[in-house]
Amino acid sequence: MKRALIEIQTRRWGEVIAFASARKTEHVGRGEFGTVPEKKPNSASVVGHVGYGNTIEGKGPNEPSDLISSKDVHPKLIDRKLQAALGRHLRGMFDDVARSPVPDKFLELLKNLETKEKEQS
Amino acid sequence: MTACSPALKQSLIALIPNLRAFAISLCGDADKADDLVQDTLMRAWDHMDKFQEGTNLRAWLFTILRNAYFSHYRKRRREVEDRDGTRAAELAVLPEQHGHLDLQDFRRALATLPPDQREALVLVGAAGFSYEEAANVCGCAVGTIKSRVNRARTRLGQLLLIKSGSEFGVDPAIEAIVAAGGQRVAAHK
Repeated sequence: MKRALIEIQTRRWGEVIAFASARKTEHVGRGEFGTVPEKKPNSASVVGHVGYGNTIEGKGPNEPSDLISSKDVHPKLIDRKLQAALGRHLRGMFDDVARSPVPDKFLELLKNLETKEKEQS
Repeated sequence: MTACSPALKQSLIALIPNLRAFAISLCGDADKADDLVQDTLMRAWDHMDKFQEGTNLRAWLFTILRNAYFSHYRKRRREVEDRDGTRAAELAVLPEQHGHLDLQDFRRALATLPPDQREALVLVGAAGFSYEEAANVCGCAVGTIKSRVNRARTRLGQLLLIKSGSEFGVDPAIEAIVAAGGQRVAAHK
């Protein structure tokens, strides 16, 4: 299913642009993903979860989006899970930069500061 | 002036990526962040004699950076704070534009927080500072840091929840754990 494929694709990180353009060509306006839960291809959502620690076993395809909005889910539990995800995002964002190499411009800056200092003394 | 020992200089260089990460999370813009880091390095170099070797260089540099940020950008900061309501409103509409939460959304959500809350959250939640260390860096009480972190978390949680409430869903990681959690709760009934 074309739409299912698009959804799987867009669940990857950083593919917002692909999603935006794909959506533009398929549907214009809101409501496509927001108002028809019964007809939504849930298989796509389930496939999208593989590898993300979905621990449900032997229950067959479930409907995670229903569970999210369900009143049965304890708000504190959602909050805790969200906070955990939030923490991961936060550290991920920070570590992305903190683990990158030092740009040359800063090495040059320090070299210049050192040279200037030596000249002055 | 002060001579920076080779060892100290090496430590300084090794901490530059950390400074950049902190700077980006403060001002949300890579170019401005690098200006801020450059500013920090120059200030640190000039005041190296005030650094006591053996103490926490990272915390010392972070302090210089956040002071540089808050003095340089104080004017701008007020404008940004004034716009917070508007920006949060813009953010809340996001699920209609593209249906899932990604890192870009997260950055935007983070950017809507007041700078003092964002700073506290990043220091504690991302850079791994203790509440005490973060309080030293920010020059405030430990309790203040705790309350800022809590408010920041609550606010971000609310923004993420707006997204996860949309039918199309959120980041699969969040969706999966929320779904798994829901299942477990249901099983206990």
